This record gives sequence, structure tokens and C-alpha cells, in this order.
Amino acid sequence: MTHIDVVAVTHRGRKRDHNEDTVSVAGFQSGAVEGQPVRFAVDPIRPVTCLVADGLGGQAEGGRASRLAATAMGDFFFHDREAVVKAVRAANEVVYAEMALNPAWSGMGSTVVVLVLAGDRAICVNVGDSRCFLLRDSHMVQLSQDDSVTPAPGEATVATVVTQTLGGRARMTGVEPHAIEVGVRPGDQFLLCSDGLTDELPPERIEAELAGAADPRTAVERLLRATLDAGARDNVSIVLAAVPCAEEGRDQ
Amino acid sequence: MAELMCPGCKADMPAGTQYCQSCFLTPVTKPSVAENACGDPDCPTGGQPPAAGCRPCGLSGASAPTLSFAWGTVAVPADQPLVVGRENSPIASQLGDYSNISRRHAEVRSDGRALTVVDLDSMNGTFVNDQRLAPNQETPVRAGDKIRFAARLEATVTGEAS
Repeated sequence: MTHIDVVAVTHRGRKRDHNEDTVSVAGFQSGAVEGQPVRFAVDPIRPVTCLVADGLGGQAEGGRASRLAATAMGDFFFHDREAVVKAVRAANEVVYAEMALNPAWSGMGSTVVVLVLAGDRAICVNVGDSRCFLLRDSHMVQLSQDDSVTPAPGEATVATVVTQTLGGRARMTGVEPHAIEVGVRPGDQFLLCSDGLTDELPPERIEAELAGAADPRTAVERLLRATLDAGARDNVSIVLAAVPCAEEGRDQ
Repeated sequence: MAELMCPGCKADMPAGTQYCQSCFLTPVTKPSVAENACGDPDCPTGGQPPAAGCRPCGLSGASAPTLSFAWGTVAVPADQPLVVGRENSPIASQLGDYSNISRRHAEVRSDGRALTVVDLDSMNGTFVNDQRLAPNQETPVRAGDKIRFAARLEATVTGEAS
């Protein structure tokens, strides 16, 4: 029996008082203020849904929006890309519906990046600037597509402006989620994170930490430690899903 | 400068530490032991676990302290001191064999959490861990202490949280 090893953590960082990020792994959701890395061993017999939702910081009720978005799709079993895209659109409507309940919640919003591991396919859908990376053979590529202003050539991609979010406006606005589907190979690692990680650490650093760590738990701990050491100006959330290696499968 | 500690693993943190390396938690000011028995700065019961035990931290509560005699255990209620002696004592009937116990030998008092013992100017003396007590002087005893009345009657203090 091989399990997908998922390690998830969410942390408020060192500058913010609250944690407006929400992580969800196979239906288990956390918005802990200063969480510790939790390791899940998920049987891939059913599609595994992991997600990171980053509530819009400094705005009304970012945490509420990210929890709502995570709850709206965290515990479903998605079998194809269209279903995930539909669920992200539905989550957008859920956020707007909640907004209508209280004038103070108007404009709350959240990004979301969802990863579904369904058999030998991986589906990644995102809205906003939370990212999904695939680490294969020690090389990292970004699967998600940021909804942010394209930086001028040669400039760093520390963009704080997102052009599309779940909720985030006073009036109901539809979203156009970015979706990508890739094949899964044994040994693949998928990293979901909020911009609290990618703003503090350059991609090369993340790639090096992931490739150098012995197991997912160590990798997540190292990334979180590096982020906190770098200042952690925003909430930071990390979900690392590791598909078992073929060798491990034969051993067990 | 108050000392810092990690609220998760309770490890000491040097001043200026931003977060615990193993728990990723923000250090908090270390509480002094006197003000907080369980060491948790956020203790909902102020460091004194209730009798039923502390649900958040698991510290066992202070059950009413008792005296364990050779024939059984005798509880000491907080409002009712236990007189040890051959007369007017709840345990007088058990003391037939102990003729060297005075009629009013000693008194054990409780405040609900800890016991104190007073020798009532007895003939043959009261001893805590083989130390003879001065008469009419209250002496605190802790769980595990052995109280000896005269030569042979012994009781062990049990059931105290500390």
C-alpha cells in the first residue's frame, strides 16, 4: 500500500497579528495562528484535494473569506478538471453570498490554489497569486498562473496587486480560474503555497530546500524556518504533497 | 528583562529570539513558578488545578489530602480537624492496642490542599519523619511524609497534589 505523503502548515509570520491563510488537505482544514507542520498519509484510492487559500490581507475579513473558500471545496472528490473549475466558481459565489449577510464583510476576498491528485493525473486550478509548483527530478516548475500585474522585464515578481480573486469586490464578479492538468510520475512533489513564502524566498532557494531535504516533513520545516528567518512579513502557508517513489512501492 | 520561553515545548529562549526553532511559536515571557504552578501563562485556572484535574494541561487536581493508617485511610475535611487520641476522636476505636497514645494526642488540620499537624502536648510525642515536634506548634506535612504518634502508630500523608 502506498500513500501520498502530505505535509501542511500555516503560520501568521512575524509581522501580522492574525492568520488569514487557510490550508486544507483531504478535507482537514487549518487556519491555526502559529501552526506546526502536520503530516497526512492519504490513500490515493480516492482523488486527494489539497488547497491553500490566502485571505486578502489588510482588508475586511480576509480570514473569513479564505476559510469560506476552503470549506466550499476542501472536502470534495474531484475527478476531472471541469469539476474543479466549477467548484472554484461556486466558492466565489459562496464568498459573495456571505458578503451580503453583513455590510462590514463587503469586499472580503481570498486567493485559492487547488491541487487534485486523481490517480495518475494532477489537476491544478488557481485564482490569485497563491502558487503551485511541481518538483520533478530536483527541478521545480510553476503549474499555477498568477493573477498579478506582469512585471517589467528584469524586475522581480514581488507583485502585491492581484487582478482576480474569489470575492474581493463589492459587487458579484465572475472568476476565470486557471486550470492545468499534468501527468503524475512516482517521486513527484507538489508544493502549494501562499505568497508569504514566494515573496520571502526566491524560487531557486525553494527548489534547493525541497531537493535537499530527506523527507517532506523536513522540507516543509526548512522552508518555514527560512521564511521566518527572512522576515515573514505576510502569513505563510505551505502544503507539500509527495507521490511515493516506485522503489518504495516495491518495498512495501 | 524577563526571560522568554516557548509556549509549546516550554524550552527557555534567549532574549531576542523571534520564534522557537522546533515549534515555530512566538516566545512568551516566562512566568515565575510562584505565581503559576503549572507554568502555563495562559492557564485558565490561574495555575491552581481544580479538584477534578485540569482539562487543558492534564495536571492532576488537588484531591483532599488523607492520612493512611495501618487499618485504612482517614480523610481530613478542610473544616473539621482530625483529633488523634484515645478519647473524643473519630479513630479512638482503632487505638485500643496503642496504649501509649495520649487521650488528646495530636490534631491534623487541612486547608483543602495541604495538611498541618499539631502535637497537643502529648506524653510520648508526635514525630514527622522521625523528627519530634514541639508541642502546640503547627507543622506542615507533604504527601509521602510519615507521621508517627508515640512509638508505634504511624500514618502516611497521601492524596495531595504537590
